[in-house]
Amino acid sequence: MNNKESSEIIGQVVAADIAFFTAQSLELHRAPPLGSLVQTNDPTIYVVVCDARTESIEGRRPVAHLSGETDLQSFLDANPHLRHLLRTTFDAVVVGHGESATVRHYLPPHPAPIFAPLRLCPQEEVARFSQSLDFLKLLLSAAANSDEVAAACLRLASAAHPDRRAFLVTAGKELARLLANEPHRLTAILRRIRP
Amino acid sequence: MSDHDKPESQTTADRLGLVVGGSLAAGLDVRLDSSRSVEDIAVGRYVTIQGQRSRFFSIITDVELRATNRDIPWSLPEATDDFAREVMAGTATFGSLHVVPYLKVGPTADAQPEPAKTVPAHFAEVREASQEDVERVFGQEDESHFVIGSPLDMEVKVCLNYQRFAERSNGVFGKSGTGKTFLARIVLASLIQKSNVQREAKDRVVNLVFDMHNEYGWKGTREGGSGEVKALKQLFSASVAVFTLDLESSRRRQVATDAVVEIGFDEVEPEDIEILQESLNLTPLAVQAAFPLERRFGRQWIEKTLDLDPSDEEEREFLQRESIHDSSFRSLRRGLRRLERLGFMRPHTEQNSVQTILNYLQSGKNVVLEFGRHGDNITAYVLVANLLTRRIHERYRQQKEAALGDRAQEPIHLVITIEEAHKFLNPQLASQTIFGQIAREMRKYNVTLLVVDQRPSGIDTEVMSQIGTKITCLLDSESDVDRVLEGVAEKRELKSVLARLESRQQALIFGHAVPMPVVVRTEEYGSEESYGRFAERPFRERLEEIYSE
Repeated sequence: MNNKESSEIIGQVVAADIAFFTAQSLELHRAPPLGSLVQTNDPTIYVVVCDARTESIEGRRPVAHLSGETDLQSFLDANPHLRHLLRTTFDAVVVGHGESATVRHYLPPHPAPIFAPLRLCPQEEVARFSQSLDFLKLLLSAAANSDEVAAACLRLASAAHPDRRAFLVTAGKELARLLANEPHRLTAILRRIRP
Repeated sequence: MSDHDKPESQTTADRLGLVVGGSLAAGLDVRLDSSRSVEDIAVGRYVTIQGQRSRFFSIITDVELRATNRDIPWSLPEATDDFAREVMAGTATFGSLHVVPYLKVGPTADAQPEPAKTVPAHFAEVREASQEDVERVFGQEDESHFVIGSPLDMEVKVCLNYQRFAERSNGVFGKSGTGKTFLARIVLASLIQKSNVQREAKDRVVNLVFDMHNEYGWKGTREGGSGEVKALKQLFSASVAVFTLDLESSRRRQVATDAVVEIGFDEVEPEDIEILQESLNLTPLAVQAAFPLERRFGRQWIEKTLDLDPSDEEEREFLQRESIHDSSFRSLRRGLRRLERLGFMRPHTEQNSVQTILNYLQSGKNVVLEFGRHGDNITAYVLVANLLTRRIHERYRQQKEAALGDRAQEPIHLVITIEEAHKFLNPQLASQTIFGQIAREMRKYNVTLLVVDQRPSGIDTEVMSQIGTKITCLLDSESDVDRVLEGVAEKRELKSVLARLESRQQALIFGHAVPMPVVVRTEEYGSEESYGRFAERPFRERLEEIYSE
C-alpha cells in the first residue's frame, strides 16, 4: 500500500468506459510510456497505456512559428502561454481490477470515475500483476496496434521479474496459445519481445 | 493411499506427457510435455499410464511432430531463434507419442497384471516405467524366471517365465549376423540352469541341440566373430554331453566328445528320404519309388537299391510292376549315392544312436550333437535331425502313453533345438516332418521345439502360429516380418518397433512366456562374470540351501 501511496500521480481520467479510458497527463509531453501498467485507486483498476498525444485544448491545430529558437525547451520558455493552450492525453486498455488484495485479470463491473487520479504501477506491483498472463487476451483484442502494445507491455513487465527470459518464454507460450490461428501475428510479436 | 502414489519429488522427473486421445484398438496419443524432447524418446521403450484407478503398462510405438495449427510451423521465419523454438515447444508445436497399452494393474499392491481391456481416461499422466514397474511385470530372477536382457535404456532385467517358455515351442528369429545363435545359447544355458534347480522331475527339461555350426557344445565364436566364448559343456560340465557326427573335426577343435553318432543305412526310412526331396534334387516320383523298394527289401533297402541292376530281367519286371519308371529309379539312386558319401553313414551300426541319446536325455543330461564339417551340408543336417527326432519322439510317445497320466512316470520334458528351421517346417514339408507334428501338438508328448531361423517367411503359417514365444532380432524382409507377427493383435505397431531394432544385441520378445512384448538389449555373454551368472550362483544357492536345512 505504501508503494501505491508514494508513487507520484501522473494524470487524471477524463473519459472512461468499462474496457477503455482516456486520461490527461499532469505535465505536458509527459505521458507514461507505451505498454506501461497504470492504476487508479478506489476502485483499483489496472490499465495498459496504448496510445498518447499532445494537442490544442481548443481543438484548433497548432501553427508552427519558430523565431530563432533552436530547441523545444527555449521555444516553450519564449512562449509561456502555450503550456496553457496545449495538453497531453493518453489512452489505456483496461486489463484488470482489484478487490482488497486480489488482482482479477478481467473487466471491472464499473468504469473508472472521471477525474480519478492515476499512478504508474511500481515494479513490485507490475511483477504481482503479471504473475498471471490472462490479461494478454484483453490486450490483444483491444484497439489498433494491439500487437505493438502487447509487445511493449511484456518488455516492460519482464524487467520487473528476476528471470527476465523465463518470464518472456512463459508469456510467449501464452501468446502462442492465444494466436494459434494467427501465426503471422504471433511471430511478429515474438520478434518484438525476444530477449 | 495406494502403492502407486509417489512422493511429489518423483512426479515431475519421469513424466512424459498426457493422454489426449486414441483407442484400445489403435493405441493412445500422448502429448509430450514441452520440457521433454522428442529426441530423448525411443520407440520400444516402456511407459506407464496412471489412470484414475488402474495403472497401464504400455510400449511407445511411434513418435510424431505435431502442431495445433497446420500453418504455424510453416509460417515461422527460416532462421528461427532459440527463443521462438522454446516458446513454440509444447504450445503451438509439440511432440506426440503413440503408445499401445498392454497390461493393466489394479490399485492394490498385490494385484496381478492382466491384459488391458480398456484405456485410461483423457489427461492420464504418462511416465517412464520405473525399475519396479518392469520387475512387477516381468518378475524377478528366481528359480522359475530367467534373465534374457534389459529393456532399452534401463538397468532392470527382463525375465522369461521358465515354465511357460518350456511348455510351448519357441522361436529365435533374425537375419544373419544379428546374434540369433548368441541368443539361442543364452536361452539354452538358462533353460539348463533353471532346470537344474527344479525340485520336481516334472518341472525339469532336457535339451537336444542339433548344432549345425558347432556353436553350442564346447565353445562358440564370440559375437562379432573374433575370439571364442564358452558354450554349454564348459558351463555345465555335469549336465551336458557333446555328441559328434564328425570325430575328426571335433578332435581338431579339441572338443572332448561323449559319443560319436553314426547312422546306419538300415535306419533310414523312405519317410526320411521324402523330406530330402529338395536337397537331394529328387523328383516326386523318385521319392514315391522308395516305398515299394523298402517293402520289398526291408531294412536293407538302401544298400539293395544301390546294388540293384535294372537291366536284370527279374528286377525290371519288379520295377514295372510297381510302376517305377526308369528315370525315377535313377533319380532315387543318384540321391541315395549322395547319402552314401556322407561320412557318418554306415551300412549298419552296432551302436544304436537313438538309444544312446535317449539314455542321456532320460538321465537328465542335455545332448548337443555337433555336425562338424557336415554342418554346411543341409542334406546331412535335415536327414540326421529328422531321423533322430522321429525316433526319439516315437519313444516319448510310447512312454507318455504308458505312463497313463501318471506324471512321475512320464519322460522328462524335451526341448529340441533346430537351426535353419525353414528347411524342415516349410509349407510343403511341415505336414510330413516330425518337426511340424511336434510344433502342432504342443507338449502333448512332452517334446517341444526351439527353432532358430533367419528366414521365418519360409516356415509354415500353421506351425508359426503354434510357436509360443518369439524372440526376434532385426529382420529385413517384409515377408519375414509379416510372418513373425502374424496373428499378433498389435501387428502394425510392433512392426515399426521390429524394423528399428539395432542390428546387434537387440531383440523383440513376445508371446507366451512374457506378459507383454518387450524390446531387450540381450544379456552380456562371454565374460567371466557372465559365465558365473550361469554356473556359480545356482551352486552357491544350493550350498546355502543345504546349510540352511
